[in-house]
Amino acid sequence: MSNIIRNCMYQGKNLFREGSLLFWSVIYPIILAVLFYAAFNGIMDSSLDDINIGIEESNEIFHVLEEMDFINVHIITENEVYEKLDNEEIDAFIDSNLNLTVDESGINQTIIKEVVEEIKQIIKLNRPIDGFEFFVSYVQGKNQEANSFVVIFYSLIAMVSTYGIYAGIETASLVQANLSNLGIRINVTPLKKQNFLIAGVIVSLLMNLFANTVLLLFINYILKIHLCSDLKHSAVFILLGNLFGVILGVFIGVSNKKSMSVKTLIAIVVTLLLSFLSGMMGPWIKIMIDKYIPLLARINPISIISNNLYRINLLGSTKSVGEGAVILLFYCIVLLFLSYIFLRRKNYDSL
Amino acid sequence: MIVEAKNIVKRYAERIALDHFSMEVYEGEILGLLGPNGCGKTTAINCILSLLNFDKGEIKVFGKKMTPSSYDIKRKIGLVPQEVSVFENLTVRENIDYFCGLYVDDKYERKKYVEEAIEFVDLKDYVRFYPKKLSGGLKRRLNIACGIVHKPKLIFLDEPTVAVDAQSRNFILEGIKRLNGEGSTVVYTTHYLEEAEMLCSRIIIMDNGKDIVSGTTEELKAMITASEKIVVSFINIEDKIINLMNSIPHVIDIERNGEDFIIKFENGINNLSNLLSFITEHNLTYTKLYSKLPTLNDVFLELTGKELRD
Amino acid sequence: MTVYRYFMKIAIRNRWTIAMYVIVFFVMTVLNSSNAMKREESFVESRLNIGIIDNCNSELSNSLKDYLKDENNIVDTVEDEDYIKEQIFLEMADAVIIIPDDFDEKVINREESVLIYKDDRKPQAIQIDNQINKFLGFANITYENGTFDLDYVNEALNESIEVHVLSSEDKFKNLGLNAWLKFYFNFTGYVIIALYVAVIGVVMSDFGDENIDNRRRISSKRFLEFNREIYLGQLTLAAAVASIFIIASILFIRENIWSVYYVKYLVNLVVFSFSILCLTFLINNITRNKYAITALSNVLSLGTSFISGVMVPQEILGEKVLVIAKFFPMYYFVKVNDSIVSSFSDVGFELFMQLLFAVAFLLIGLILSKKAQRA
Repeated sequence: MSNIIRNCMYQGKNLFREGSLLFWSVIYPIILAVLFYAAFNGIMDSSLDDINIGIEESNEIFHVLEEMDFINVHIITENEVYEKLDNEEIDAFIDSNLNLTVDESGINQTIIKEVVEEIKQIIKLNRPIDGFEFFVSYVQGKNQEANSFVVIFYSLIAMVSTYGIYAGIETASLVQANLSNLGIRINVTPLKKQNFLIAGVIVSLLMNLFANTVLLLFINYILKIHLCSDLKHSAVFILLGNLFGVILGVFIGVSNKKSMSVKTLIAIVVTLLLSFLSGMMGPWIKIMIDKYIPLLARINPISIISNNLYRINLLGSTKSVGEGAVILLFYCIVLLFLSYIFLRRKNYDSL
Repeated sequence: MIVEAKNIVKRYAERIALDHFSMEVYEGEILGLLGPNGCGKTTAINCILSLLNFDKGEIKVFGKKMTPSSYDIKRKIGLVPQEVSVFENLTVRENIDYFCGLYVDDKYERKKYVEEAIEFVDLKDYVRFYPKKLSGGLKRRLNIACGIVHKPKLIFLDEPTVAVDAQSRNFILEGIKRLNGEGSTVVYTTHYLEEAEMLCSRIIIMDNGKDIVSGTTEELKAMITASEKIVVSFINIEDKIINLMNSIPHVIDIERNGEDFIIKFENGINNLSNLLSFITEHNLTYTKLYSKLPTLNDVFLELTGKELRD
Repeated sequence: MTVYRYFMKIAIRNRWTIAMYVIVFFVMTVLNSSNAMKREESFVESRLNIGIIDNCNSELSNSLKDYLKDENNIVDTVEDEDYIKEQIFLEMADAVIIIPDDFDEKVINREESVLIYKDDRKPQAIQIDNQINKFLGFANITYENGTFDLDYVNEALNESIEVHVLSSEDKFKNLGLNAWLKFYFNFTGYVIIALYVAVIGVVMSDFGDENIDNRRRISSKRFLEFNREIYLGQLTLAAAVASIFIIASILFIRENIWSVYYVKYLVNLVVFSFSILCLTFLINNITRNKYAITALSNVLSLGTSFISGVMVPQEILGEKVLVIAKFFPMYYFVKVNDSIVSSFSDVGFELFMQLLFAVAFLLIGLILSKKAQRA
């Protein structure tokens, strides 16, 4: 035991003094968070470009549209319609029957349709338009103030929690004689390999947890997005994510003889792919996977973490915490066991 | 016998690394493992330390079979590997302390050992330095310190003086002698024959994975037929006198290289004076004359047909 | 051309690693673009699955329910918060609304009258808010003498407008296909950055080793010549990678290629790839630290993709964000892909900007490399 503690101390010093590793583990997720925030904050502001509508001056709703500040009204005639749509001067044309002419279907066209349709309906109601209160909201949202894109932050946290993978690979190479010089020396000492490994895992965990904590504090206090209202349960998953990441790194490190850069590439690819499938680059992929291959979402470790973080914090429900935690622990145990088997091959065919 | 290796065979796909290699190490000696690059010295060490597996043969260390989990045996061994093997981000002292801690549990004893090791390799002025700030020679000293700090009974040093400045090299060699004096058995691999000659009480010469011959320096040198060579450079010597030289007692062979004559003598005491008498007798003039005693290179050359120096 | 030859040899030796990387990213690209049509649709009206719980059962509430039924699919639900959240989480319901017993009163007083649980992960869920607000707003307008004129409201709501989509005479305006290509190539842009930096990094890690580089420095190989051959090697690799994506896209759309202005996408990708190649060259001359390169490649690829409109359309991104995005070629690349054009003059500016970046990266890279010679 004291052996492991001693190893933790020294391996810890060795790891934390690797300045560039520490710097990038902490800074890189923060940069990503800032960029995500920048991208999605735009949506939260919803400051859209003005929409350009072509209409004849004689049209009955001409003045109504002019009043709306996000609409630019262009006075055109019927035979200019095609030309102006084609060169994108206008997004749509409204004729005297209040029908729409467009040449593509995108967000602007959808909005125009909604607006014009509502105006037509109001006209049918035969009541003065001034009496219509556009801005009253009859709806009380029960969920916390969030929009679908904040959910992507949970995916980001899930991905970053597995970044202990790189430190895991490093530890694995230190302990093997055919992978590093230090490994040769270690293998000749009476130190048991698993003790060295356990110490390495602990130290890598601590480092990544530190980086994760900095990130969460940053998101919470500087970006002012409150992601973890239920800290207790969230911490469980972040911790498990870290454990999984480090152990996966160890497994990648001991299971093959490829070079460090190749192993790092494998780590990048695996984490990126799993994150992608869990919806980090847009909720649509996640929805598609949930629809067609729901099993994948249940076993994808990054999905498990991000889904549960969402559920715990935004829905306030801890129902699936047990299942998620068990699956993650299962992965950890299996990978640890397999790593141990690989290491049992105690002497090598060649160094 | 501390180490006993019998008929070790280690094959790689392309070639044989160890070809029925045998070795014995006795307590208290400094055993040299001498051979050209690529002959299998490091491979042999790695097999003995159970880092490498091997195809045939038997290895016993301290009387017991050596396996990767023979932790009690490992406690008594120290290794100074060929490549510098230390933690890049730990200082000199931290490195030595870490490795000592793997053998010595008691805090106070460990502290004493670490200080002694630092003293031993003379790195007192560098204890706070990180390895990348040290020169090649100093790094090697650190490498040694990490391998011997726990005062092991059996020390393996694998080519510790490669790419080391002359001052550090002498320092290291003296240090090894001191270690041996304090009771450690040393196994020392090298391809520098002067070092082997100077340091080792017994030498095993290796080539192509085989142990060719073993013995003390004197024993090895006695094995070759030409125990002395005298080089003379004559001026205007006639052919018939050259032939007469064969009659000098103990002459085995005469080789000519332009003006230089290399006269090989077998074991005799008065070779030089006999030659000088011959020169006086025939009124010969010479520009240089010196005697060369056999070196291990000669031993190697005679036994294998190759030069040890590559 | 020794340097070039050996560069390619090292690349070929690493072929399995490179292949794995390319394949994974390719799969991601295809998955992402197959999603394309659905994404466009999600901004257009689509029917959601909603659950309704009516505790009031008034004429008003029933009318609202009928209206919502017309526009959406109704699922059964129970008035239990945990159950509802479960349904939403499992995507069995996109939203659940609860109508309280004092509903009518609240509506008349213009208060928040309806409780709604929404699936935050679906951007289209906001439609429900709009539908409810519109209905109740209309209802309130007709409120006279203590009653709502709900028949009239329904009649009004049945009014709809026709949308006439011009089938363009311009044969390059196959909208559906353009949308697919847009998503495909935008994502390819992200992949290009990630791949180039990683793949080229793997090969360069040998050349970049300090000791090997020192050998090169004292050799008689001229500086520019060496860099030229290295660049050529990188170019070969980059071209191979880009070709895979281009050929794949052609295979996907086959004969339909004539109904879109495919050349635009092609030229845009080539120009962009060139620009990123120069960026990679620059990065390799800034640092050889493997952690820095990994982090940089991820930040530049993922990060700029987010703010340039790959994952989130440029139309929706905030003003300030786009200003920052303009400092990187990705913005212009996406802009070209997004616009439907029939000639190059329309996108000349964007293409030019990408080339400008390319030249800038290259120059800075060369300057840094030269400086390092003397370091």
